[in-house]
Amino acid sequence: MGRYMKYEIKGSYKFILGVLAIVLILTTVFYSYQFKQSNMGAIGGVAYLIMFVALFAAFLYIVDSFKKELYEDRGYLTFTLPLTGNQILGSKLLVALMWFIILGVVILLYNGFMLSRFIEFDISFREIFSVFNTETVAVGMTMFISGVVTLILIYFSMALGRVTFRNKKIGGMWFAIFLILNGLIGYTTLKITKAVPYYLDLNSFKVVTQRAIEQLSMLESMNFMSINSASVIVSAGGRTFMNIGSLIYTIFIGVATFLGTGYLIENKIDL
Amino acid sequence: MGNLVEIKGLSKNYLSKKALNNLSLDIESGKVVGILGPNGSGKTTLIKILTGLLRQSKGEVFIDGHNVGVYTKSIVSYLPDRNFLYNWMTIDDAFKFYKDFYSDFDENRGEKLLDFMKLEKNMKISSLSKGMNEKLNLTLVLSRRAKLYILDEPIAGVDPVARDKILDAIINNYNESSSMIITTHLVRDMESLFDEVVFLREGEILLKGNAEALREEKGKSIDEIYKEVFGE
Amino acid sequence: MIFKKKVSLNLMISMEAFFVFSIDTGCALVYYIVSALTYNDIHGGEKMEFDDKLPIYIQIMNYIKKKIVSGEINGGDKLPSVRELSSELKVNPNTVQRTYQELERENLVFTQRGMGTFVIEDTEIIKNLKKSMALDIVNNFISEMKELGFEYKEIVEIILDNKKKEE
Repeated sequence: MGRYMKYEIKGSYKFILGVLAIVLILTTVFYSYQFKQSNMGAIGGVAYLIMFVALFAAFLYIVDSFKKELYEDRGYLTFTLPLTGNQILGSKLLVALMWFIILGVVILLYNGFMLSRFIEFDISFREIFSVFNTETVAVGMTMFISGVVTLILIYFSMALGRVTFRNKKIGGMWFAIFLILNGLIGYTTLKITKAVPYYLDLNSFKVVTQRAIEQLSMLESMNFMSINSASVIVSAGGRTFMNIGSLIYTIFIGVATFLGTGYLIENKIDL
Repeated sequence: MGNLVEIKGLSKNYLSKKALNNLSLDIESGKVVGILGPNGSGKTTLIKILTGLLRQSKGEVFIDGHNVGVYTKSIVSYLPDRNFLYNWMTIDDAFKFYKDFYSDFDENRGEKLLDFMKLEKNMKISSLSKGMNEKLNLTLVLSRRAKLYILDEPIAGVDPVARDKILDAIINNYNESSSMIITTHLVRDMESLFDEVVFLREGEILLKGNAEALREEKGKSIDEIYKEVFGE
Repeated sequence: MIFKKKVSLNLMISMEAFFVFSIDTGCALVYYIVSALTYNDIHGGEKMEFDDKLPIYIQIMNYIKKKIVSGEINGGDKLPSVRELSSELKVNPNTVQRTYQELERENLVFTQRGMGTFVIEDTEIIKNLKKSMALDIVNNFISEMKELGFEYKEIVEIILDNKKKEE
């Protein structure tokens, strides 16, 4: 599998580095411009926008790599290699994740670097790291899991689209399938949340019931609930809780769709 | 010399038609088999099932005693009828790729063939003409010491000079422990290569047998038999 | 004096004749040697066209037989290896293998393991081959001429006429 990853990287690194270069240049230009204007408010927003666009472009490109295998001639090479469907899929997934992480980290660091050029930072490293408590890490991880599962879901939708619609021209069907699947999963996740009303207190790692949270939420005013693909997170009374059921369910969905996609491309694909 | 390939009762059904209909065929080691037939006769469908790009609706396929899967893919060297290499690659990349994934890849042979085909390693795949692509693909496929070579229309759409080179390469590659399956509709150019021929129409075998025996029996060339069998 | 002249004239003529003769022979010798070297086996020379109606192995057999009979290949010569010949003629090696086997069955060649396939040295057999091949051609010729309506007498006349024209 590592062999295939090597070639996946070889095939995509030029594009990724290109995107990265453009983003860094834009960021630099933007920061120097903003500094002259001394309009600090816009910095955060635009920088974020640039990062988002870069990641989105990379995302489209990487996802397209899998689509190419299914709809273009290069599939004749990929699917006659002595690899299982899971190996091929796993390689593509890992490389995709690798690029996203690299892009995200580099852009973030660069932004930080740029900021420090223009603003006097009193914040020491210690203070920066204090942001990373168990809560933020846990939330960050669920967002990561959510991203991974979404990606797997996209692959699955593409494979399903290829298997069910033999006509190669309808290459866009995967998106419709993806939306439907995503909706289904979101709906079932909520159902599970209701059915398994047990939450993990992200500070103390104790399991807590929904009742308890409801009671807490009545005490404080700052409450919010966030649902992403990975889990349902509730914040109440200054503490954060994560629904256990939804987390397990999401991971389960991820694994199942991964294996499902592998099965499809190994056994059901008709090129 | 047992059967390298055994195909039993193979069928492939689509909504609108039967691409293959209860086809059975055995191929011994060391034989060059020509699968002949017009477009739509099922040649490519059969090939794709052998290479794992397609799944049969019914029937069994055994290559070296195994079902089609990861193992068979490692002993089958397949030349598709299209440009299947990743187009960011150079010829050197393609060589390394084959070497990485196929333990039976003979780099020396590959380099000799590449010379013979007058191609160089630093060329980009995206800049090659159709004929050059065909020559490159064939070079890679024949440089593997595989048990089964499957060549799908190896000389179609290629100029006569390149054609000769390709035929030369195919003949020089022959060895007794491997078999070759070649599909073509350019029968006249290739018929002297075949040990056995199989005539396919609408997914069924119309006629099969030893090429020389058929020539003797019918007093005709394979090309003429083809015209007789498929003619109006 | 005249006698001396006559002698010297004769000498010159005979010397000239000798030179011409030796050059002729020399050329003939060179030609023979060169052809012997270059046409020692089947390499080079004409490209073989396949009349596809006959099994290919039979066509290759005829091709080789012709060369044996015409002296292009001599008794005792080594024939190309199966691989070489199949590559040159662009045919399946099994076909060449079969050709050699059939030739061996007809006692025209013999195979020595590890060394190759050789034409037999027996001149009698080669002579007989030459005769039988000639007979085939002649019989064909005669039957075709007969189909055109010629009688033996006319056929012989035509042949003799042809001979005169060539000389």
